[in-house]
Amino acid sequence: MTTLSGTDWLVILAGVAAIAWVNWYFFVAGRAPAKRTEHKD
Amino acid sequence: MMSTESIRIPVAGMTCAACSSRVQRALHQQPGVEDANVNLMMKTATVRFDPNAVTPEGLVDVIKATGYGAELASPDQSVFEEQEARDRAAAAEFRELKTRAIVSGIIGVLAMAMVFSRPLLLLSTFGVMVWAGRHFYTRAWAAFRHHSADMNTLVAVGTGAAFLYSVIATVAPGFFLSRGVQPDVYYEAVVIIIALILTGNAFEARARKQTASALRALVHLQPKTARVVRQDTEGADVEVDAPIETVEAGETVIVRPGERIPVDGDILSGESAVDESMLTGESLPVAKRPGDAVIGGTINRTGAFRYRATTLGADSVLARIVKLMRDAQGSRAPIQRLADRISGIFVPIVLSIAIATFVVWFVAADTAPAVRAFAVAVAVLIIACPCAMGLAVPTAVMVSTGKGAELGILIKGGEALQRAGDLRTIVLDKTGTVTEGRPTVTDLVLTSTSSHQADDVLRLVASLETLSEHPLADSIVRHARDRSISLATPEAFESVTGRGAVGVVEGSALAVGNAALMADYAIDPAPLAAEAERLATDGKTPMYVAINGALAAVVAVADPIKDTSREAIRRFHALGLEVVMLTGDNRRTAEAVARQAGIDHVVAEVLPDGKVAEIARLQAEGKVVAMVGDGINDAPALAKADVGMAIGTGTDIAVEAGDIVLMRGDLRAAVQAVDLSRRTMRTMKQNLFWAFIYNVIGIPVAAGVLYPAFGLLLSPILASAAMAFSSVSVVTNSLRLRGARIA
Repeated sequence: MTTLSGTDWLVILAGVAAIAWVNWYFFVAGRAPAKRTEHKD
Repeated sequence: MMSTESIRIPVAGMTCAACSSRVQRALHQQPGVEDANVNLMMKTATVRFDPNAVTPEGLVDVIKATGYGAELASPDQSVFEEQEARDRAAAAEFRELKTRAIVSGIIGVLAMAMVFSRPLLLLSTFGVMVWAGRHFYTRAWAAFRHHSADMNTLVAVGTGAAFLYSVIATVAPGFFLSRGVQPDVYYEAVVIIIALILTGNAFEARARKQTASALRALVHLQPKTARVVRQDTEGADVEVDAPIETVEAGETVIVRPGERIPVDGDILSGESAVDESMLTGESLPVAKRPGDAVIGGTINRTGAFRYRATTLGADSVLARIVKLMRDAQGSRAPIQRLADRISGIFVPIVLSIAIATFVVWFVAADTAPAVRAFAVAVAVLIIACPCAMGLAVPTAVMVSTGKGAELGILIKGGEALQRAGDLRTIVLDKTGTVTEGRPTVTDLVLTSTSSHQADDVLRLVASLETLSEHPLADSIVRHARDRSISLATPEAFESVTGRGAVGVVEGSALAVGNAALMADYAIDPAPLAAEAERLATDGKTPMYVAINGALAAVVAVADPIKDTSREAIRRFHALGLEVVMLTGDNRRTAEAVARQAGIDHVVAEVLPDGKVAEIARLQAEGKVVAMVGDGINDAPALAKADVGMAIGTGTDIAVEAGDIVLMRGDLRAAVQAVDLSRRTMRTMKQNLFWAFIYNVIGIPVAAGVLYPAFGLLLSPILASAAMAFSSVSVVTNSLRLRGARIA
């Protein structure tokens, strides 16, 4: 098994961070709770 | 109390399910919006809103902010003008996509043939991205700002990354060479990907246009002018060709043979045969006489006639059908929720897979890891387009409802289609559905010793019954008139409640009624008692006829079974359906009709609420139940059933009742509706299967899972071709329904 270089580790870390960000941005940040509105009848 | 209004706004530029769900979400988030339904196929947003909180213009702005085009439809546009405008827009969209695809394709081929130098390639690729593919980037950006992603995101990220990589390789090749990597460029890939996706979109636009062909055919039935009788300046009646929109209710319209009937109305004078096949699916021309109703859009075949215009504009039969069809074609089938849910989360997951693919290839590849990782990641982005998933269900709904209209079956939407596809039991109303709904004389049996001819007896009886108000009397009079028998005026007439009628016609004393009436006059019915019993067993109503104190004949009246009902019920059985008949009629008549028609179960002597209870009982047994009835009397049962099929014949179309409207008074149309629904469900499932399987196989192959074992990799160009192919194949599969032979 070949050992991973420093660049490889950098790419892996960047990749994991990118995946985390994509999922946070589209699934979490986009679903922020809607503002509460008051209804007056 | 808050009041709400509803508006339909045409939306331009939506290409996949993710697009429509994005516009829908944006509308839902707008304060004042009660409900919003965005339709990808019809390219419309139907919004229910509080006019005090938001204006229609404000809603248009909300849609525009998501990156799509929107404008308010002109309020006085008729459904016909609206559909024509939509057709024109669709044709323009197709032309534009085609031009862009062809130009990009030519540049792509030249780029692949290496005709251009690298700087020129850079410029031409940039030109294609800005001119032909601009909407991919603008819409992807608009989606991104709303924390959303769609197919444009995949195309934009894929081609954008390839372009940026190539620009760096062009302007700073030393950066790559110093790391032992060849400074390869992907300009041609970017251009070809854009060209292929545009080609796919163009094919899709054309196929979508075809799916609306039935609706377009209906719209084209509407003539532009009508020949109307109006008064000139001197007050004399003259015939004028008037634009259809100026015709008013009550005006007299003239139609000649071969002409299309311009508006709905009732015939005043003249007779003809009218071809109503385009609206009812009935292949034989229908005879029309004074008093009969005619429908605008049908063709007058044989004679000329004058008629009085009745319903016009948006209330006309044709306009109502067009509106119903348009709403139905754009409706959603429940099965689509699965596709919607998946395409909503699909793009972020694909982006994650593409990043992971890049990382794995970068770490694992021996030579030029960055370049290979890059190409594979771009291929993953490009192949994974949710378009096919978004098109799988709506295209099938659209083609199927169009096919239904051709057969005289109006299906009110995807939900009705899906439920009709799952049917196990069909409940039929008797009168007017299985039977003609108009009692008529079926038998006239003379005594063996009678000195009268059958027509003589019929003439005397019918003459007497002209003064009776009993429904059975009316059927005898109609029967005699249909046989061109001239009737006399009775010299005396008396109605005997619960027994029949007596009187004098042309000097003959007549008694027409049941055995009790004969007993009142000391007439022995025995010679015809066996015959009367047989007729009663067959579900008919026998009436004895005595002339001058002697038994002469027995006349039977019945509501005959329609010629087509037996065949329809046989076909229901062939489709594996259980057939039940519900009726308010007495058990004996009902059972006779059921026996003759081949119906499995009969529930007789039930009131309308009893019909509802019976349907609820069948549903409680776990059966999916359809009710077929004539719309008005059966309305509660139609509403209770899983699928209500309303029989609406001619102008009396009960378009509001039921989920499916059968335009012909022919039960075989109900069989066709079930068969068509089943085929549509099959097509939807095939489409969804292929759309899913395409991604399930395509994404891993593009990511390179086959590379270690077989050395197989997908280039980004092949990926874009596969993506375009998947969308086109789904639409083509739905279009096969147009040519299906329906039972």
